[in-house]
Amino acid sequence: MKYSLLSAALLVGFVQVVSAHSTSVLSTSEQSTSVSAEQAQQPRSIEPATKLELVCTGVMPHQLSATYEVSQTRGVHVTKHQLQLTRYQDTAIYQRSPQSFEAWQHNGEYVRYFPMDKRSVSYRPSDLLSLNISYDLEQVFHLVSPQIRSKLKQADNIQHTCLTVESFRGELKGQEVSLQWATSLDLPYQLTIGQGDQQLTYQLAEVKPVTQADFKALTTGYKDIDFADVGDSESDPFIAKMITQGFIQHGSSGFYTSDGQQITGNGHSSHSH
Amino acid sequence: MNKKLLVLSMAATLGLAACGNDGDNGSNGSDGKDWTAVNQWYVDGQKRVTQAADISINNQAGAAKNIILFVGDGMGVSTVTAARILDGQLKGNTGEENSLSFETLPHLGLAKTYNVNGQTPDSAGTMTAMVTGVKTDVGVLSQAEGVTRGNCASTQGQDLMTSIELASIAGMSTGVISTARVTHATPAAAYAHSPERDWESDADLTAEAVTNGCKDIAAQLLDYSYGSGINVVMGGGRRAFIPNTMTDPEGKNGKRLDGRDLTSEWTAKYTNSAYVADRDSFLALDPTTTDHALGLFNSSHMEYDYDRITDGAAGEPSLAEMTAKSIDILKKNDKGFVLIIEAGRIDHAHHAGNAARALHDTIALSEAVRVAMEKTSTKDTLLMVTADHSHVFTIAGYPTRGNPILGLVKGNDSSGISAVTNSTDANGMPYTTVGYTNGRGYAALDNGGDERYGLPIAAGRFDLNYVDTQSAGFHQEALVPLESETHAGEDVGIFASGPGAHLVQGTVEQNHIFHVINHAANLVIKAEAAL
Repeated sequence: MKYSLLSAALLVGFVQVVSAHSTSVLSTSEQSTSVSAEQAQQPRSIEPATKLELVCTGVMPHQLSATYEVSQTRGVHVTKHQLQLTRYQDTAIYQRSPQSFEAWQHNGEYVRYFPMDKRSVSYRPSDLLSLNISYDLEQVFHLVSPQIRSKLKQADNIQHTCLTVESFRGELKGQEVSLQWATSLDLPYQLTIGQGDQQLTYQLAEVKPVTQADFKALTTGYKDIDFADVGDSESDPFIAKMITQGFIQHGSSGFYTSDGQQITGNGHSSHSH
Repeated sequence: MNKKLLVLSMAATLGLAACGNDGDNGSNGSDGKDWTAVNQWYVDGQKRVTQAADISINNQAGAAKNIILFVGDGMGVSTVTAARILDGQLKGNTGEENSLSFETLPHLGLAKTYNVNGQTPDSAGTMTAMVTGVKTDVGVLSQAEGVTRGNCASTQGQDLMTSIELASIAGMSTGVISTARVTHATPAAAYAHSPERDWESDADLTAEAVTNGCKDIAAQLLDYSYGSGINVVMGGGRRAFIPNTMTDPEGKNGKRLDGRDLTSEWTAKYTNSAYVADRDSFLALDPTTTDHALGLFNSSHMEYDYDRITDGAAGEPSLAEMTAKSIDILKKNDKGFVLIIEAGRIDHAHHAGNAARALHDTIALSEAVRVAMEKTSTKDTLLMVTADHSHVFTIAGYPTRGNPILGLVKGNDSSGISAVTNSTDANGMPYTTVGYTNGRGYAALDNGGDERYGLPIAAGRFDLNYVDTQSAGFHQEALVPLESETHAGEDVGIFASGPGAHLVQGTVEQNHIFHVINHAANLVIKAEAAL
């Protein structure tokens, strides 16, 4: 789900992998965590990621760029992609693909960037409300919200190169969750949801400092439009294309067989509700 | 209706006392027909006709001292109907029998909304028709169809005088209010002239526009030079008025590249002037000592009324509050006023496929009209309420009386009694009363980090059995999958009262609205006399 927000990726990926449930395992409305004694007594040692390049010196939690290897295991099938999280002051930027990336601000504003067209679409909190989009800014900025961490059982701390990593384990909504938390980065070093041959894993591969110039370079030069104005901008070629194609790929075909079975269109078959 | 019933019905209408077995004792009469005044529908119908018969028409040119034109952006007839029902249901009633404030106005017509080059129009072309009396192209503001959209060089000699400009020249007070940006198409058409509706600030101008001397819309508002200038401008759109180096009270930067702070220019330009940026400052405005008020309550559009907050830097007045304050400022002028008020966000909620917010903003418009009705007199004020265009928003199925307008359809059984279960389609799935022909389609997502844009546009049917379709965030289903729901091309209503309101009759071209206003207030003649 390359265009999705992190939360959706966690959700959708997890749902696709593990269950048919529609609620994120990382939502803040979790039930209590249970953890076995065996799990609590056996903190795992951290194996360095293959491409791990940690640059701890000069990296501040509010001015960094972290690259994660995201791997999703479904039985014998393993898919991988990269996620780059750039955090600068009140903004968090997620880059998953060359087609688009997303920025969240602490005030709840959300911007989708389309680098190939040098266009962006801004969503105010009320736009997101009207679209029934709920979000957890703590999760957006930290991949895993503090509320979720608090529901997990803490194991031993581990010192890895220049990072102090806190280890957490537990069970959320019936799924095993393993979290290695890099305290100085305020981000996960590793996050694994699920178990066995049904797993979603985020592994920190690289982290580096970000300057104001680096950050500005990411988002300058884009012609922005309010989401509220998209509907009145059908004459704009970029918007016209997006109105037709959607800011994300097409989904349901909208066609059904005589017995009510959906005729699958291009792309995804339906929501994961 | 047989002859006997017709005669007796006429007798009842004429107020003749019914007697004998004609049903006036609550029964249905000796012939079993209920044709007398025991039926409330009958009585109500009689009353409405009596009221209509009592309406006097003032056909004198210039009889209207004041003009108030309300525009619900995207408020098609189906939106009015659904908002009427929702408003009634929010009051605890079945809803269908309810009337929005402007539905009680005595005169009604239909406007053909098409633009010169568009079967289904946009707000720029439609508002131009209403404020200039001339239809034009999609995207063009108060310039004739001779322009090429987005081409500054083509605008030579194409500017059209607006009703606001004529009123200013005539010495009347003027006001423009919107819940959208005040530089957005609908309000902008009242005071600006541009071949491109998107040229809201100088940052939006093309190189060709700059080369050929076209001004951005916000600058045109400040450079407005007719009469004593515009008296009241209120709405959103602060960012087009301040430099990109300036941060507003809500922490947003402006957009202007020329360094101008048009808000300070406003207060410098006009005497007895004020600039306000939040509801608290707005409430503190004294209309008796303020002659020129600029209120910019949001960097972009004002919030949907459903989401509006009232306190602090982000606090915003309601459309009704802005209407009341504006009338208080404008009515000080003995020569009268022209006030144009837009409920600008009905349109946006529909584009998002979010009926709840569209209907709540329509109800907010109704409240604003009610305030205007209370603060003015039909003797000297022409009040009109219309829309610029419609949306592909429908009310469908056969829901029973009082069924929640935002709910699933629950019809009647074979006895005409409300069914216990939801109506279902050929797939056995329930469906909502309101829906869209196109757009993003269904969305009703759980809390917990899920989000709409990681999911595909979802046209077609979904199982709504366990979905709260009445939640404000619910997205009604759509047939044709588009990122944004579209305008529709059918006619829109024109509701009117006051001098000249009788000229709203039948199905008319949208530019007819200007000519009704012009006749009622004698704008052109007054303006020419003042020159």
